[in-house]
Amino acid sequence: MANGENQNPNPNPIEATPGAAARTITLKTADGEIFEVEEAVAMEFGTVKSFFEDDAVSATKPMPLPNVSGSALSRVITYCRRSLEIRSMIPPATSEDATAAEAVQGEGDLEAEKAAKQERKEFEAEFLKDESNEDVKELILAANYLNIKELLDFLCRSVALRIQNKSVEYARKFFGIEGDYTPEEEAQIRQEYAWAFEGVDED
Amino acid sequence: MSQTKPKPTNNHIPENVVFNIVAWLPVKSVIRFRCVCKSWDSFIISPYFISTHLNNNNSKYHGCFIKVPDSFGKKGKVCEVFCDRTYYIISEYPVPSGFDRFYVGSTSPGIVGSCNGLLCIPHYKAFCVDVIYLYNPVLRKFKRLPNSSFSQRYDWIWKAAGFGYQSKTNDYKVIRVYCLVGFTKFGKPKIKRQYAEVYTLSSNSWGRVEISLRPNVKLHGNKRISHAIFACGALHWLVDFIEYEDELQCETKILSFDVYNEKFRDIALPDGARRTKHIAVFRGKLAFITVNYYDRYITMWVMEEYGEVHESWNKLFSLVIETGFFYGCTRYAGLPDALQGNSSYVESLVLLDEGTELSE
Repeated sequence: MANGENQNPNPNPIEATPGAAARTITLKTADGEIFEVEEAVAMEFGTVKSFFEDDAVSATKPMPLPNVSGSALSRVITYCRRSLEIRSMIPPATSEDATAAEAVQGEGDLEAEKAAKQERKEFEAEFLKDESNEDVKELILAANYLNIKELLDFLCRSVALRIQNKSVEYARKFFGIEGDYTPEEEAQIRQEYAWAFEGVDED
Repeated sequence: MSQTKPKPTNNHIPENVVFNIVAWLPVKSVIRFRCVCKSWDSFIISPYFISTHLNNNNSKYHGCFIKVPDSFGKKGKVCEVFCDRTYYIISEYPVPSGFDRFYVGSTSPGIVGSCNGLLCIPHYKAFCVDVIYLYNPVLRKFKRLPNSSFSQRYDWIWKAAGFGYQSKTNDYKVIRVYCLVGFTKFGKPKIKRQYAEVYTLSSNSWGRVEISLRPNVKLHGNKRISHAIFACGALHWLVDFIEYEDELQCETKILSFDVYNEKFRDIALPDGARRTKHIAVFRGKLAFITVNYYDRYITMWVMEEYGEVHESWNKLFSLVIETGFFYGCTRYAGLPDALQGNSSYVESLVLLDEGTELSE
């Protein structure tokens, strides 16, 4: 059972074997919320995985996550659960590698992979739809701290999509950066690459 | 339930994550964001970033082709990038004005090659190479290659050129091959001399390369000027291998030049290859195509395993076609007449860290 009173309702946890209770891992966030997460999902977090691979650690005490808030963890768990589900749509012999060349595959495998790709596309399009820039940044920090490569990669691509048509000022604000070019230096760049500054969204 | 949740004290996105975000941006955005701050500018022009960005673009975009204008002399000329599935034009880049002066009065046999968003553009004058440029269309940047010490002479018959990428050292090379052909008094071709030279981008210089095939083998191109197909780390041309043993033997094969070790070798064609021949890249593999103009069909073979030990041709299909002309290959074996064989394209930042040479 996952707790998280103020959050979006969590989908049903994955069961490792039908009928048997899935092994869960307990996580405690910076703001004191307790989450019980299925082991399969928790092992997607690199930091959790290495924490429990250490033999001396028992799985009964909650693992502290001092850099992650309850709201962020809840969203991270949602993402990882869904991602695992989608990955399980593909038969194990084939690996879901987005950059692999088109290999010769069986018809059924190809269909399953296509369906999984489509599911992932739709899920990822929805996942961040209503999140503010601040929320997305919080997720990035959480995914980075928890060392979840797939989620972090997805978040990086999503942020890139959000900012690609924005102005230099917008990018500075988003990342909290102070510009350190002199006005003359900046004017020179803007002139040399004038084409890159055309058609930019209004701030 | 309005508890104030303690926010993490450090709200700044770490540098490595910033790097990864920027590496997913399109070229135009990356260039604009050089202005954000000096440390961004510094990582953007680093070779590691340029490679990472290119890898990301390769995974995002598949099967685009670029069409360069026939002559760069007129104002308002653009390069067009189109998708190989729909043939819709997805991008256009105006050609920088510095190019204006060099394409006057020559016919264009097209680009020598296209690698990682960099085009190799020769300027031919009376079938001799006058000047070679490396050009990145999306960056509007180009680099004029230095002249080699080899002098251009009209009587050097077969000219071949190729442009390839050397992944082990992240370098680019241009090769030019020349053959001087004479004729015996019976009208048989007799090759007097052959010569090859290679330009390397990292050293910005030309060097001579031995054409080390079996001693008696001479080369004669099928076309007047031949541009190589780059596949599997090597450049390939269709060439007649002429051997003088007891008698003159002539066999058409593929001449291959390994971009890394700069060695030549030959690859035999599949059996039964009698008709008009072409080579191309098909889905990353070296492909051999024959066209039967009379019966209007093409046959394609690909080399599944490349490399001297296990090489063999795999016949893929025979297709009936409407037009008898082969121009090049898309991922779907499409044959649009707008396609130049070497012009697959992906946007990249290659050449960003090189100075632009705008005028001569």
